[in-house]
Amino acid sequence: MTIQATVDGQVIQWRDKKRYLWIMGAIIPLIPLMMWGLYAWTGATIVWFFGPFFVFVLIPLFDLLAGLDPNNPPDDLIEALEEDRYYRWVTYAFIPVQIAGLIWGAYLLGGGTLPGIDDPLTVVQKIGLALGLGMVAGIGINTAHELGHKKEEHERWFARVALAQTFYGHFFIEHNRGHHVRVATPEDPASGRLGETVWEFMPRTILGSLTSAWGLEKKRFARQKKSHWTIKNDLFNAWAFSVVLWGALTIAFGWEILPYLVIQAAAGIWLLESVNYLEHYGMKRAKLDSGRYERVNPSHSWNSNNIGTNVLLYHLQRHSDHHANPTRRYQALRDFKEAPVLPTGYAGMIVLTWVPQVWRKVMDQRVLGHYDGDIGRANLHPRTAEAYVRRYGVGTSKDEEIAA
Amino acid sequence: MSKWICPNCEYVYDEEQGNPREGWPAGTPFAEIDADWTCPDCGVREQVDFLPIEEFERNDQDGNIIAAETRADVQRKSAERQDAANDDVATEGADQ
Repeated sequence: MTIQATVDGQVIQWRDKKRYLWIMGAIIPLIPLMMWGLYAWTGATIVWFFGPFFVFVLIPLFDLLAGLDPNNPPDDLIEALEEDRYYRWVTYAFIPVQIAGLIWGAYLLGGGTLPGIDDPLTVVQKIGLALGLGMVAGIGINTAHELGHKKEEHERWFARVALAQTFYGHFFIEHNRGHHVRVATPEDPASGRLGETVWEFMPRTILGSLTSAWGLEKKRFARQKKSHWTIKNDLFNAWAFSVVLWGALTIAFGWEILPYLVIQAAAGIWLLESVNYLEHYGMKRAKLDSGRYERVNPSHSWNSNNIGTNVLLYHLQRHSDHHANPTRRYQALRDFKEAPVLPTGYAGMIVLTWVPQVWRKVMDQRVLGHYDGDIGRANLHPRTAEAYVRRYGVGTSKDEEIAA
Repeated sequence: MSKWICPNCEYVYDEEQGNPREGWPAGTPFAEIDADWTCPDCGVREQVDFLPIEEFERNDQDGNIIAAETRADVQRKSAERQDAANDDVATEGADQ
């Protein structure tokens, strides 16, 4: 199908080659079904760990094989492309599949049996299943991210539904009004710092984002001169979805499923926060004389054009454009030629974060190169800052020149 | 009563209606809003970045503001683009 618009009396046409690929995003919540099929076929315990295998092995391999997609829609068609309702229905479709998969999983976690699954699952099998549900949950946070950024009120409610599985309802508050404001500054809990390991980053971002979200809503209600202890507080009404979802699952399938619900939520949150870690790793905005940070520009985010992860994550990896235009719909996000690029897709990069030595080997030189060899301009982690400065030295940074 | 626009996502703050959800009751003058209040839709522009609506035309796709004073520029550019496009059509016609 062709998108077209009339600009200055001139008809412009463009064909979106990824149009039908976006439906692939909704195969992620089908991971539980795939596990069912694989188990019925093989009877092997290992297949219950298919979720992490899919995300951390199959997607990175696919990225390496399928290569890059640098196609951008023409600027004049961006508005028309955003208006095409098909694209938003693709994202809405994710949510019922996600919830259905979770209910299916909770039934098995509660000791249920199905055709092809003759006996209740063992503890090891249940842990695998919970991790698989967690992969869906984490990518569900990405779907919620796309929806939570939109101006339409109903899409922001859909975002809360997608976040219910991970109890991460505060994300769409903190992300939009905290992270986007302070991105690539030392103050942002959700921007990874140079020399910070993902293991250090996790508690900092999880606690920091929660307290920041709390503060944002508290401040909003203070302006209204009302108490923030109300269901109108977006944190409470978003968490309420989790209480209802988790509560209903526990009533239906027994309290035994609760530890596994916690495991899947933790796995989902880990997946999402790993992406946060790498999206802005080491990036820092310069401080202007006015005391404000320079405006976010393409140089403050890591991008990737790997088509596999891009299709599964709704162009999240075209991250520079997302930060320049946060309300822009995924299908219209563009690749900026001047933006910094990761060596592979986000999925593969997450695997590298697990071993900090490997991560640093791949990323530190890139951050250094990005700042023309001046480590002083990067977002340094306090614990390792001294070692980095000693090793690489600090040149005259651009913002110091401006200040002088 | 005037209207102010976020130059990034085009959210409009109308003084007449205010934004009660954000804590600005109807009739709150824009000047009384906190300078660090962020746009409720995109979050990447603050009160000080907003423009009176009549000064704003649109932003280009890279987030640069096309303000009223540059409107003439934009019109000239789009006229040029149209000319170029017409030339292309003419060339294509010649090829056939």
